[in-house]
Amino acid sequence: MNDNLLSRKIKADPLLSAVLLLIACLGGLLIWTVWRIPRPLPGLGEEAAVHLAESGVDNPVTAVLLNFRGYDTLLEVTVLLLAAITIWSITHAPFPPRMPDTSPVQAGAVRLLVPLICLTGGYFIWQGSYLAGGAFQGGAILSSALVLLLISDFLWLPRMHSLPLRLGLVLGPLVFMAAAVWGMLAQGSLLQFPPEQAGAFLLLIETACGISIGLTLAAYFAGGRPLTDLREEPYSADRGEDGPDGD
Amino acid sequence: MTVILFCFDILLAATLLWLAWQLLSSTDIFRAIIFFICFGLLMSIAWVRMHAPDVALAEAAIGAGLTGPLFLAALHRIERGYKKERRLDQDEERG
Repeated sequence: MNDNLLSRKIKADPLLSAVLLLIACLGGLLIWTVWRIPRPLPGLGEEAAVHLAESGVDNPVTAVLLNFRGYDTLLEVTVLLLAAITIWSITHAPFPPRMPDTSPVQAGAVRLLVPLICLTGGYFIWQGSYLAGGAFQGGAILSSALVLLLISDFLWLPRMHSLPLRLGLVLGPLVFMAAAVWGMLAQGSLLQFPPEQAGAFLLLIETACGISIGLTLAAYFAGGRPLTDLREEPYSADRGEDGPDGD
Repeated sequence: MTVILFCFDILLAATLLWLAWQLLSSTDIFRAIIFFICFGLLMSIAWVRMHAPDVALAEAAIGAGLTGPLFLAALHRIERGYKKERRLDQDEERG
């Protein structure tokens, strides 16, 4: 039925058919270009492999992401923070959510699952130094635990004080920037780490970024600034909905 | 073995294209989101086949695991706001 809809639209609208023709041409050009790419592919893979020992980690992907091209990752982490700030400035989180139908089975399962998920996320951050993994993957897994808590009526976000929440959100970028500036002061170049201490630096950055990414992604899911952020006091059910403390 | 893997790759690519078409042409947003999550999971298998386990992990965790629920939450908020606005007591169109 969708195909009928589409074909009718194509007949009705010459602009759409022109656009489709253009897309087809561009697609054909893309396929032709990919076909023509010379092999073996030119790249910096070998360069990275040669200097792997200086990076402080054994996983080439982590070495490139955090050491050789740390600048990009620093900006990526900052973009995540920027998105969280934007979401907070647009709207409030709809909390406390109206979800009275959380079953005891779900609550029990969440209690068992959350520590396990946190352990897995932490392990992925740790594993990033020698296998596939790292701050983004571990942080995403951590955030899944936080999201699971949010949808199961464990209202950690509304009960959290504003200051630790904000500190958690900026922890990753702050530690990353501090390490970058330290590299500039001690080594003479931004984000340059001495080879013998690079491993410890990268682990510190990855851990801080993992925590921040987990919190940030969960804050996206919450969908806005928590109300407590304005009240400056943790939300408690018995205080009711009346306004901020005016006394 | 290589023949089996080749067939698997072809099947995977075809399924990905089919899922992409389904999710783009679906008029029901809920359905589209479910297709998106499936697409993310299969895409992470495709990344594994291209020997990029790091990207596969990120795709599975962020692409499928987090963006899907994020879309669902956004849809929930949109529908709730819509209902509050219209004050209609119609049954939900989604069956």
